[in-house]
Amino acid sequence: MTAAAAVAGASLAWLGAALLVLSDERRGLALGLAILAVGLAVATTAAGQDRLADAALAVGGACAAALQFARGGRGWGLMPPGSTPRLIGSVVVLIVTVLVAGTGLQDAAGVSRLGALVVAIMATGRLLTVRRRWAALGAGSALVLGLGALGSTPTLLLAATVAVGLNLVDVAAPEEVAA
Amino acid sequence: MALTIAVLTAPALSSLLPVRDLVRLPAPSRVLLIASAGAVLLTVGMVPRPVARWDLFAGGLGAVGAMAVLVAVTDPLAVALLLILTGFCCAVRPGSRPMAVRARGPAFAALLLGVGWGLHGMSGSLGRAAALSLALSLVAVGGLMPYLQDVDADEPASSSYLLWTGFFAPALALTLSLRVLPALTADQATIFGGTLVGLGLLNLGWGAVGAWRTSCDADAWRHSFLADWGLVLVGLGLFQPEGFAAAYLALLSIVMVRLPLYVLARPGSLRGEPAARGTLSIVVAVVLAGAAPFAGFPVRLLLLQAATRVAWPLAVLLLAGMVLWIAHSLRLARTVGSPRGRAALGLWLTIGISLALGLFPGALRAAGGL
Amino acid sequence: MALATLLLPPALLVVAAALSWAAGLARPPVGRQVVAAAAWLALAALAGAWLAAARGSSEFAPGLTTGVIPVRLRVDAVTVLFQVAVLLPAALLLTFQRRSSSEATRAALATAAALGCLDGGSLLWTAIGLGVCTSLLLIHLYREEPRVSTQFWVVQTVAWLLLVWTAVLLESAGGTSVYGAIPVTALRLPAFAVMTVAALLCSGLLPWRSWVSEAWTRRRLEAGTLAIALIVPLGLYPLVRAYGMGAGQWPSIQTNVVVAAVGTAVALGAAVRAQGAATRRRYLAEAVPLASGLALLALGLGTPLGLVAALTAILALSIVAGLAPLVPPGRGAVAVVAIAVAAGAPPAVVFAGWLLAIQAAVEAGIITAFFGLVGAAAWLLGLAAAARAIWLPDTSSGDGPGAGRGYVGSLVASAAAITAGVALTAVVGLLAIPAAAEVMPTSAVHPQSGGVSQAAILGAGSMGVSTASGGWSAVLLAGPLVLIALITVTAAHLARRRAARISVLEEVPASNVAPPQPPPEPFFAPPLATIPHDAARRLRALRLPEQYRSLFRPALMERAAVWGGPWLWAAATVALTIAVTR
Repeated sequence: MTAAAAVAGASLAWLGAALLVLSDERRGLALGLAILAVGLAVATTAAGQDRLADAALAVGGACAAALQFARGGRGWGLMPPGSTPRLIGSVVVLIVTVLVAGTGLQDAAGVSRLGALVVAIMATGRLLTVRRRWAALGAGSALVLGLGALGSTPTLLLAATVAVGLNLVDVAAPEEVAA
Repeated sequence: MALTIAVLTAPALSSLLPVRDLVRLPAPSRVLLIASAGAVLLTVGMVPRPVARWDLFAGGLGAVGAMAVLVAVTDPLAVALLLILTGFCCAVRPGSRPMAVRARGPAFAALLLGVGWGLHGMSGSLGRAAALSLALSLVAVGGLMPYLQDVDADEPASSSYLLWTGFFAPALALTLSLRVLPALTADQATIFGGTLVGLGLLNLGWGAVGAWRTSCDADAWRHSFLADWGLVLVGLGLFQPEGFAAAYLALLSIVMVRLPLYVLARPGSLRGEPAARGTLSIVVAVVLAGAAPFAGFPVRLLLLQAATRVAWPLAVLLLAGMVLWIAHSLRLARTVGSPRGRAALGLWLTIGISLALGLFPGALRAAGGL
Repeated sequence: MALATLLLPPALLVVAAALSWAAGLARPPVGRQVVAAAAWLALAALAGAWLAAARGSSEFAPGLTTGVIPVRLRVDAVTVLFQVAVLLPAALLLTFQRRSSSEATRAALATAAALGCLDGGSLLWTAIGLGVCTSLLLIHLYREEPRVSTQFWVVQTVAWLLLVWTAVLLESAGGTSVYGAIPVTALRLPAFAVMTVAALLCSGLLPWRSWVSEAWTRRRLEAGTLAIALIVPLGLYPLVRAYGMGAGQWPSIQTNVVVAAVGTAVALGAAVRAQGAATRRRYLAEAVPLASGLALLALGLGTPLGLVAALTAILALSIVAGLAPLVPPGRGAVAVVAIAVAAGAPPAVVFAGWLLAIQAAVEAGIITAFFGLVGAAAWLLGLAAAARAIWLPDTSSGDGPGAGRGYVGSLVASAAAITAGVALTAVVGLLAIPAAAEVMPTSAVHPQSGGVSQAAILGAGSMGVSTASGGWSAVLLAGPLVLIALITVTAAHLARRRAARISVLEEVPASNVAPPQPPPEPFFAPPLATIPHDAARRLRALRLPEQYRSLFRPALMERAAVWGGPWLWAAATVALTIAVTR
């Protein structure tokens, strides 16, 4: 049961990360962020982490997503034309990560760790390719959540806080002129 | 500033707060933090234009505070998270490059650090990859080879990536080394050290030759930072007391000597002004060349001691790099020119600091517990 | 008293530097005089303190740490000899060359740094001191003429780095680089080889034109010649100390042969270049390399007589370093005497030192005897070059105004050299032999070294030199020679004055005045002279073949690294991960 929950959580996290990678609008990014936060929280709970901290992770991710959502336009921007390489990349990252780090898949903790790794790598990949501030901050938030999920209670709490903080930066900073 | 003071006095406060084990400042990091604060004051005092001065001061204080937190937190994973936050906060400042581009370096470094620390408990090839990732994170946080970033001429110094290379990264790299090394196995430590030494030599050679051969003075300065960092990485990777001391002194020299000189030279070098041939040029050239009795020579001595103990061919490579160093020293010194007034005072202060670092490294080592 | 020997000379020069700097600010142009007085005072203090003391070796460890090593000072006969070798030419140059107050300040500091370098009790301290001295001289050179002497800077940097590395190797092998404490077995061939390369580079001891000769191409000679006077003896110092480290010998006999061969080649190369010089300045530029080459030849012999000869030759070298820049223009008696003294004509100490070196080489063995013969040939060639140099034009294209080479300095230096030659036995007995005995003791470990004794080198009553290959009395031969020379010069001077008075009265027609003679041609064109220049030119012109150039372009690679950013980061990380996890 625990292992199944961990797998479900990790899968959800991957899905959320994939949505984040494949969206070109704030709403899509927010959706991906929320899903991956929930997925990571489920996975870390299944791995035996403190439930409060896991809940905080989910709440933090949700708040970050909400901040993005609130400033978004009407569209979701999911899988726009030209996003096929990103889609393939999302799948490839999952496969490669499983192959490389798959030795730790024996238990729920290993699965949770794998999920967090996948999220972190995909988020970094997204961050390295975008040029808009909101997209970078969204990817940064995902990276923070993914890395936070690798740690223990204090790290989970910190990750939630930093994820919200990053998106508050977007709110507080002056409007960015499109590059 | 409040954060910095809090971190520096943390040993006294930590028993009162429930964060005892989460916040601990190693002695060398304390010295580097104080040196960084001093560097902020020095560079603010030297900056030619009054308009930039207050902006630089405010930004500098904020940066010192952020650095204080980064070096005080004991968990490398937490450091990675805070690194992302700091990176984005720095990137959001005005600059000619997009914010997303400027945030990439710290974010990538944080990924490497987080992944490395998250997996360091694994055995076998995964453990070795984790050690490699930890070593690469030190390289990435400084924006060194192969994680180079662009230098944009129109960008203010506080938004340039050299802010990370010359200001944030020194204290962070030293502290992270101190934190992660005890947790690594022998196999992992070998990977960690070998990676640092290899990339250190690469940066030393690339920096020394690049600073000499490049046609642009701004690029030459960037390469000179790479060369200095090359010595640091080699020192950290040798796992010898002398090597670590050399890295520590080299980092102090980067923060307190090279960075202020760069800030002084930056306006002229970016505008491509013709090189000045003032009488101060040769003094600054000797300082930048690492000659006795200035800051560079105890670094070289200690590094040669450590390298000879580990493998003498390494000392030969280091010697070659140190000799190549001379080629760019005078060129960089000429970009500093002959400043007047406040900037001249700052320049002489920097030369004095370099002399003090060269004459009394023992006192600094004692302060850093090395 | 021993501490006074160590600290007083550099302290005097530092104080003088401060006073000179203050004088420079306050405008009265007395800085040069202050520094010159301090230099002579320092020399006197050194000699006085050494003679008044027990003249044994002493070490001081005050418990301070500066730089990265504890302060450790040592005074012994070797220290005193080398400090004399540094102070004497420095005092001459500081007195008789024209300098502003600020230039005098820098010169005094550099001299003090050189003395401080010799005060150190360990090889590491010597290396650090050399580095400090080089930095100060670099600043001095640049301030005089805003043109960096790249060769000097590169060579000296390599030298002090290699010396530091040698100290590190000694510490690895023996636990310390303190001269008095290094275990005999610590100085092995690798460390010795590194140290020898450092010494050769530092002193410009190369068969081709080195930084020592290049210093004479500067427009002004003050800073460059001071650098030669300070640095060249410092470079030879570690090689002398190496005898002490090895309890009287170097790591292997092959090292002796190699070093002696290099010394011979240096002397021969200098002599060949000297005879082919186009101007007197270019001839004088080879005076110090010739002297240092013969000193190195003697140093490499490894025998007690060889070591004494080397140390005497080092003192001679210091005289040459102080005299050559002071040679006045023209073909007057003073100029002729100065050139003759620098070329090793009797009865000066230069002649004596070189003769001892040749004798020692002949006595040391068959191979070294051959080196000695070559050294003698170089000496003779140098004398011939000196005779030619008297007729050479004095100015080169870079000879600036106010060269400041009057007659007094040259006269004083020549007189000092001749006096030292006449009193050779005193010089050898008081300085060279004690210094040699310090590093080449009679030791049970190496009985063949024998140690240095006064009786083996000086004749009965210390009136002359007496060695296995022959003896000669410096006092009895040189004394009358000097007397005859003085009488001759005085008579010639009186006769010339009378002739000048007569020519003014009789209005000698211009057609009777002898036309100026062109300078004599060189004996032969220096062979291989263009090889270093050609080699440097070819190295600079080296390029990858056109078809391969696109494979390796660092600038393009860096641009790709910067612009390609994220992809290169990921690729580099993945590549390294694969390499590490295989």
